[in-house]
Amino acid sequence: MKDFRGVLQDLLAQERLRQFAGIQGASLKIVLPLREDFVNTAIAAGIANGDAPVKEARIQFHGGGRISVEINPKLFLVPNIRLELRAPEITDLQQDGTVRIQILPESGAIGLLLQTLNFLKRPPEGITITATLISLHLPTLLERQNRGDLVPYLKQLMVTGQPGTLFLHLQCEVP
Amino acid sequence: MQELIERIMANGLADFAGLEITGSIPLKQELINEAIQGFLQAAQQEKPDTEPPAESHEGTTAPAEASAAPAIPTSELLKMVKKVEVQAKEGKLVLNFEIRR
Repeated sequence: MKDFRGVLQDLLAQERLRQFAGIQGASLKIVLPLREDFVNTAIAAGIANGDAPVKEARIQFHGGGRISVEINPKLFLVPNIRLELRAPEITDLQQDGTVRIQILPESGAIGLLLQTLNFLKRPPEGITITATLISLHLPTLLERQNRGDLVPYLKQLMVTGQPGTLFLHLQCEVP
Repeated sequence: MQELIERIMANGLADFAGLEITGSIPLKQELINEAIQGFLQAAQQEKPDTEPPAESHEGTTAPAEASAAPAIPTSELLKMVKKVEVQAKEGKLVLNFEIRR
């Protein structure tokens, strides 16, 4: 027997198939706080379960979208890397859906090194790395999770932060 | 990764303390009627004399079609709901809500 939640889950699944025609005009704002401890646990789990070209990676949130990443690569003779990044303040997801994370000049030549490593080990589909930019193409990343149909409803992503926590502000709309 | 998802669910989203979801959902009357029909059908299929369905945490009933991921108990989810308002408009109900962790 289905309970209250089972019925709601079924309805939601049906609405998704009908492209949310029954809730046209719906709007949703989500503020998701990401804490360093949690993100580092998730990264460690991801590295342990996948074939990432790194032994270890740790992240630090400094506030205002500033992020430091320390990476211990698996590749022979490649030293530990420290990246200084800045997350974009606002991304209009109805334009091209790409979140562009800047690799700051404080990272030195690391951006170039990352770009070179790109040729040795391609990043997952939907992620592009240049000397100055890490681009996350959300439609492709969602498609890989079989959630590509949700892309038209994503409106805007804003990133704010304080030391230790990054806040993702996501706006969704059913037109 | 499954362990991480289990941890998130087991501690009732405590890793995301400060989470806020606010929204407004206009529900067409057709959808509301469909929901009512679904609840009624589910209630009529209930067989109290047979073996009770599996219980999850805190006495909530696990939905038959639930995904593999563990669910947060309904009672815990309801604690996060801080505001629900309904407005009736022509042919639809608008549900305004606020959820905080």
